[in-house]
Parts: sequence; structure tokens; C-alpha cells
Amino acid sequence: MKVGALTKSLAAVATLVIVAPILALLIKVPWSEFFQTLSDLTAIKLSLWTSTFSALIALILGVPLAWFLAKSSHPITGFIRPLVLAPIVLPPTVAGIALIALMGRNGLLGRFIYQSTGWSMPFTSSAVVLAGVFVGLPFVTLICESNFRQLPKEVEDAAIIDRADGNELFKKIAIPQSRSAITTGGILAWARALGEFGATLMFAGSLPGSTQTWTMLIYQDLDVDVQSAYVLSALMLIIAITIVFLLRKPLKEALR
Amino acid sequence: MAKKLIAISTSFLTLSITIGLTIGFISSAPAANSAETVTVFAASSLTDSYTKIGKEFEKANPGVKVILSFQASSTLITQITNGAPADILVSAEPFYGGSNYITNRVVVAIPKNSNVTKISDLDRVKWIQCAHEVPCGIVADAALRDESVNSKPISLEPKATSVVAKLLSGEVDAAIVYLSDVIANKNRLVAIEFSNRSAATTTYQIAQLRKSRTATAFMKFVQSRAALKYLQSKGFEAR
Repeated sequence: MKVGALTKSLAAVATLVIVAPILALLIKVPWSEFFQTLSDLTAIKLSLWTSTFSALIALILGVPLAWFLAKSSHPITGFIRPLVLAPIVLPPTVAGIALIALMGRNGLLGRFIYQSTGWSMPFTSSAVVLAGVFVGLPFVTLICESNFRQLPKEVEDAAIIDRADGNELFKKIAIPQSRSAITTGGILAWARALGEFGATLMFAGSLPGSTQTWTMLIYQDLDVDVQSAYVLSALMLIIAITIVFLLRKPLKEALR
Repeated sequence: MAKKLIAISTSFLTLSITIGLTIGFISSAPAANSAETVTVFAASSLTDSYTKIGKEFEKANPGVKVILSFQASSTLITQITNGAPADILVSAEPFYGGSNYITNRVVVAIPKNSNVTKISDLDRVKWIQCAHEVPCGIVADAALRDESVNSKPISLEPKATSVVAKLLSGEVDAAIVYLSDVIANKNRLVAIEFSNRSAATTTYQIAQLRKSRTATAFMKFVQSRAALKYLQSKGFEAR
């Protein structure tokens, strides 16, 4: 017997702490009325398309950043890396305030956009997307950088001997060799954006059809329609479990 | 094997008890002197005035601690239904078991330098209000029914204070908020009254949910003539 009794008991408690609430939620969901309760899909649709946009932007920007962090020896990487990973541990309310400070109508950047175009980002779907990018991008960078560092040195050397420049190395070697990591990062960014709540509520507001996301509807329904809150939560939970189940192998590889 | 099983279950039990006791101790720690604390759940529109009233109560009753929680009334009621430890509830709308306390009415609030002069000007600007499910949103909807406003709010906020915060931060041009919110920010905001004032008015109700001397004293305190006079100066009206 390799695992001691105390360790086993602690492991059991740890598992219960996570599994018990999940099970409780699944048991309390009014399954027989699942689809009637789920009649209005506006918020779900909004969340699905905004988080997909967020994930795509996070990939387009995050993969090159990961490559830079993995390959550059510039001392600046030592500052950039912790900064771009900060949103992972940052409270969503702080993220919300930060986004308002930059892009609000009186924000550092938002002020100029508003004065010259009359458009401001808060209360629009773009605000929901930006909040999603802010919280999702670090996952792309984290997973991809770790993967880029593990690329076999020989392949890179061979490419360099063939006079591949930095861009070609990135396009023809790094990306094709890291498909699994890029997909994993993208899906994690997508899931994180889908689950975003605090920053979105502060920065984007809540309006059915344009900014009231799935999580926002759960929050609101808890006060007015508990059944609907349960059904919406269960669906979110099923997505989350599916994602970690599908990603268990690539995640293990990417974080090796 | 049996020995091991016993060892496992014993350590598991010990552990569960330890954890249970720890959690129990932490959560009951403030309750140890529960006679000296009063937990008040109040509508978010009461944030400023009840913070002040709470301090006054603590001053008048040395050793007593007032714990205040401000949320949308519907959120507070959900929390209480789920066992939140409130001694007193002040809701911005009537609830089962509550008695009439004060009234407040919604107005259109605009910054002082605004070019909005009448309710129908909302059609020209970006404005917000509370969600249709919370009291400040319900009265806003009722008040708007008698106005010729065709535009829709650009956000339905979860509680009154978040509407005020977004107006004060300048992210929107106008907002439907309580008169008390405008008075609390009278150096920055101006109110435009709705034509149908009774539709724009909501009655706050109060109830004591748990028995304690301190809670009873707080109930008396907030309904005293002095407290009501103070609330009146903040835009509320006594019932």
C-alpha cells in the first residue's frame, strides 16, 4: 500500500469538496421541465458568440505573444510574463474597474474615441468580448508558451540551417507542431470568457440581447425564477465538465 | 485489512470532526456576542442614509455593532429565504410580513451640465435604469408608462446603487434613480420629476426577523421621529 491512510482521507475530503456541490446542483435541477424552462435562448446565444469571438482574438494575439515569451531572451519578458498572466488570479471586479479606467467614456483611451467618434465601448457587445479577451488571453499564452519551450531543438536547428527566419520558424514549425496546445489554450480561453461575470457586469452592463450574458441571467434568475437559474447552471456545468474531460490529455501534455 | 479500514475510517472521522468544528467555530465566532450585534439587510438605495443611521445607533448604544448589507431588495429576500442571518429587513417594495416604513420615488437624474431638460429628452441620449425584476426597475417601468419615451435603456442594472455609480462615472447621460440618490449627490446631479408621481413612488417596508433586544432597539431607533426626519432630509418620505 503506497498511499497512507491520512493521505487517503484527505484525498477523499478534497474530492467531496468539489464533487458534492456539483452533484447537489445536478440533483436539484428540474430535469423534467428542462426544455420548457430553457425556452429563451437570447442570453445563451449572446454568450456563445461573444466568447467565441473572445477566444479567437485571444488566439490571434496570444499565440504570437507566447512565441515571443518562449524564444526571446530580452529582459523585458521577465516583466511581461507575470503581467499578462495576472488576469488569471485577478478578481473580476478589479478587471472590471481596469477596463472602465481604460475604455470607459472618461477612460484613458475611451475618452478620445468618444470625443472623436461619439462611440463608447461600455454597454455594447464589444465590451463583453473585450472582457472575455482580457480574462481568456492568459490561458492561451500560458499553455502555448509552455508548449513552445518543449519543441524539439533539432527540428528548429534544422530549419535554421535551411535559412528559415524567425517568422518562418513560427509559421512553419511552431504552429503546426503545437496544434494541440493551441486548441487547448483556445478552448480554455473560450470557457473562461463564457463564464465571465463580474468584469462584464461592471464594464458592459446587462441588457437582454446585447450585454446580458448567460451568467448574468443566472444571477438575475436566482431572485425571480430559481428553476431557470438551476437549468441554466446545469447546462453551464455540463459544458465545463465536457471541456475538462476532452482536454484531460492535451492539458497534461501542455503543462508537463 | 480490517485494521487498515478502521485506521482509515477513524482518521477520516477525526478529520471531518476537526473540519466541522473549525468551520463551526469560525462561523459562530461573531455570534458569540450576538446580543451586541444587529444585522440589517437594507435596499441598496438606503446605503448612504443607513450607514449614517447605523453609526448613530452604535454611538447611542456603546458596545453594539451594526452589520449592514446593501443589495437589491429581491436579492436580499432570496438571501434571507436561503438562511442569511438577518435580524432586520428593509425592502424597497412590500413583502410578506413587512410593515410600511417610508416612501421614495424615482426621477430622471442628469448631471448638472446636462442638456436634458424634460423626460422625453431621454430619446436623444444614452440612459439606464434598474432591471425589470428589482423594485427600482419596477417603479421606473410604471413611471415611464405615462411618458412619451420611445428609446430603451442601454443597460438594466441589478441594483439602484450600480445605476447611480454608472451615471456618476459619466458612462451614461441620464438614469432613472431614486430621488434620495439625487439628493445624496446634489452637488453633481439634478432630478427631473415624472408626471405621474404616484406611479413613480414605492413604499419601503421593514420587519424584524429575529428576536433580540438589540434588534428591537434598532427597529425603534430607525422609526423614531429623529431618524424619520433625517431620512426626510435625504429624500425619503415618512409613511
